[in-house]
Amino acid sequence: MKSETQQIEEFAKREYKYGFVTNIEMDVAPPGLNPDVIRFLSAKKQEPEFLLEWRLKAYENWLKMEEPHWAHLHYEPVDYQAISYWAAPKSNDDRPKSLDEVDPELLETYEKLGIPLRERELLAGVAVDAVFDSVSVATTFKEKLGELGIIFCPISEAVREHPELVQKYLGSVVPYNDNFFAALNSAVFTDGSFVYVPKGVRCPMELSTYFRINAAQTGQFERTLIIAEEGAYVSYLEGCTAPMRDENQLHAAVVELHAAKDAKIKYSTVQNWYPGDEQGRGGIFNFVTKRGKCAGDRSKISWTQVETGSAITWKYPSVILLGDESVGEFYSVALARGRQQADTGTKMIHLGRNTSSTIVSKGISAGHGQNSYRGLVKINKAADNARNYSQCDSLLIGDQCGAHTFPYIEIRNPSATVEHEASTSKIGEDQIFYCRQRGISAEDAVGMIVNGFCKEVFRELPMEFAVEAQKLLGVSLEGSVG
Amino acid sequence: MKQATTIDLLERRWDGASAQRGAEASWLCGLREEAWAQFNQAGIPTTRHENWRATNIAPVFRRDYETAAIDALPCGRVHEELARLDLLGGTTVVFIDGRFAPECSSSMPEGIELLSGANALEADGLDRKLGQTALGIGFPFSALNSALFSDLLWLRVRSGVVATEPVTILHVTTASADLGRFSHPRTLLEIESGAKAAIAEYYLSLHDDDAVECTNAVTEVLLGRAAELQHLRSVLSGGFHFGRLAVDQAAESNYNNVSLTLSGKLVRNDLSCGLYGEGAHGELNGLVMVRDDQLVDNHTWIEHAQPECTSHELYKAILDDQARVVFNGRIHVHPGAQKTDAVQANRNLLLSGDAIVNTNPQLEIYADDVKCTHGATVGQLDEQAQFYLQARGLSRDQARALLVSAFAKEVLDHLPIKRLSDWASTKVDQWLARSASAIER
Repeated sequence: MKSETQQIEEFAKREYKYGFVTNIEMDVAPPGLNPDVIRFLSAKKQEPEFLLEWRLKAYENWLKMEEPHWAHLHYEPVDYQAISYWAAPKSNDDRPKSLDEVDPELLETYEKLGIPLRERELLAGVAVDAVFDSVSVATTFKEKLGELGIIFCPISEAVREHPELVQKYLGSVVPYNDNFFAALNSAVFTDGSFVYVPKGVRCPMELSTYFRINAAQTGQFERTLIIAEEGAYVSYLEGCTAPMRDENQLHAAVVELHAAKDAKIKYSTVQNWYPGDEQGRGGIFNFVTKRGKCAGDRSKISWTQVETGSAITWKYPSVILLGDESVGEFYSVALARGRQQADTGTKMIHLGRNTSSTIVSKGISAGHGQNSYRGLVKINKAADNARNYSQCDSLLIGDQCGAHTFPYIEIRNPSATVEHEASTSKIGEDQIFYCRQRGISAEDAVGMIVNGFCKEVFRELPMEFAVEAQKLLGVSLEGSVG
Repeated sequence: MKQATTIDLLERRWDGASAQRGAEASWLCGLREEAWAQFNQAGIPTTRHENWRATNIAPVFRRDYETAAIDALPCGRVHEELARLDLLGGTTVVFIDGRFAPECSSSMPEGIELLSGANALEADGLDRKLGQTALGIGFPFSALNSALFSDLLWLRVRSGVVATEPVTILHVTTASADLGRFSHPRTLLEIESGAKAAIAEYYLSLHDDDAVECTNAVTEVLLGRAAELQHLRSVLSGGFHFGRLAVDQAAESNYNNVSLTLSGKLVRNDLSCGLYGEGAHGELNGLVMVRDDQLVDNHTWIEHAQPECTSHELYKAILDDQARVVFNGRIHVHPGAQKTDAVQANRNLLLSGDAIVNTNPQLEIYADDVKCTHGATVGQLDEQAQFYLQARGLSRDQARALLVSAFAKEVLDHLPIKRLSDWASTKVDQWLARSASAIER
């Protein structure tokens, strides 16, 4: 067994496969945050007055807020004045109309990541709104979606072209003063995706965005807003990898989902940002606020996430179940290895009658990783016959890591049925031995067991993503067990 | 304004006890001073503190607690009350307002030693035992008790002694509607290596529920190697109650606690069980049955500090009216505590639309070869079970009554001493009888 342990440790120590920096001329604002920076940023993006005012209000609130420290995370304090809040590729003024016009170096970046845009477009039939740092550089299938009345564009474009929609929904799910990181994002968000699916329309393809963080010392503040009108359906994919570097990078994104009556939104994430080196240096700090509102009756919001990257993950995709019979789901696989720390989970707020929610969380800890599930299930007084099922399983690989579960359950209605279960286990030597006997290598055995452990979550992912997620988990974990 | 009054009272009491402290051993005086500083530094917890977020204790500090001493010990009243609660008989130790009342107590059987007052506080070795497990950041009331307790009940079961009959410890408050009491009972239970015992601790009031009363109790339990203790802890008074239980277990010891809370306006228990020796087994079980505007908050910690330890935790609650129940249980598996096997379950049954449950079952695990599970449920009676019983000829009301009773009494299965479990079972039935209409609904 010992040789396997060593072998496994070697795998676990593998260098980050996707670490590299692309040299593209950047237009960077000086570090620091003040109202002038926000005005500069807003002017650069030619934003309407209401948005600038909203940003400044968020900034005012942010100043009064304290960074939250309740999570089971330990990290060096972030100097918010040392970060530059604006970075965009220079070619912004002259945006490419098609992929042919895209900066070849950018395309090469995607090639290295194994996401050939064109191939995806042709083979997978996926419309890709790729975000390179802060500004979207390529949007495909726009016309096809346009015929159905679906708007899929960078949010900065939506702000200019559909200000009435943005004004109505921006901040309606995550208010500008929601929390420290959401307030910061509201003040300085640079770009992100905007999706609007009109009444009764079923979006015919998976919408997808690849995020990348590129410029050194540039915080990344994405803002995503997805609106599904009555009876609409949309599935949105978000995935990312990032280049290797030494300095901690701050990422504070906000995602808002709004589902009207009978609408369904499926939001899937594969996150593989740089987790830092073996000593935990570098790596992304990921402080994300994701929330969906099931505003109408019988609406449904489903979050699926595969979190394998980042040094620090602070992320709780939530659903507010306002409409009667609305449904919220959260499926998560979180991996913490090396010195990674993840504090992630969900909030299910039941307000409407006959609402139901499902939480399935799979945490994997290896090396010195610390993985925490933190979730809230709240059944309010008016939420008759609400139903929740939560399951949180942890898998520990090695004796230096930690797995923690902090569920909060608040019930104010006697007709509620709420169940929470959690278990913790390890990959047994007997399991590996059994596989080895049958000619399966230790590495494959671990991959098999881990994939089996995560199966319930993977099967919620769209097909292409499920394959990618399994591969990613395999690469990250390859034989971390002895 | 009133809060200041209560704080003033506590400060007056601290100042008033300075002569007593001066006469005490220096280690004890030091412990009290450290505890007092800790209490002052922490302040009165508010709902902004994570461990107190669902429990607002401000009402505790809105009452006037008198400090006047009573002239004569009301032994007659105590016995009347015990008769009413079916607690007469057996070996009984009575503490009144935090002080030992020998006149009301019976003598100890062979092998069990009872120390109190100066006998206890000046005894050899106490400095290595008292305050070793109950203190720490996050327990301001435990610190307050350490600073202000006036008498210590030290019960010691000698090495190898097997006590067959349970010992009853009664903490009685004389508070009434006119005379307030803020008392700090302090208990040290020591079960030496190889000894076996059963102890039942009751907190009761001589007057009705309107008594102006706050009991701030601390019980420390030390279990020697392979020692065994069955421990029932029950709050029977109607006032405010802060209870801290800190258990320190040596290797192969076996500790079993059942905490039964049927009374109390506001009850907050902080119960921690430390498995500090290999192969120890600890159990924390609890049953909470509340109505009206009662609030009962149980916080539990199980520390798996050594390998091969097992723990079991079952907390159940039944709520009627506008009652609130909080459960917060943490299983902490320390690095190196391999082969840990920990089970935790919290189940809640709501009988009313105005009741509120907050539950927070937590796992914190730093070792890989462990088996830890926890689960929490909140809900109503199982419709299928009800149907099953009705199909066998029970009326709907009977079926529901049977299911609720069974739900509650599962906890009492963890109380192997028949005398104690019978007593608890009767109390549960009495409570259920009063909520019959809500159960039938």
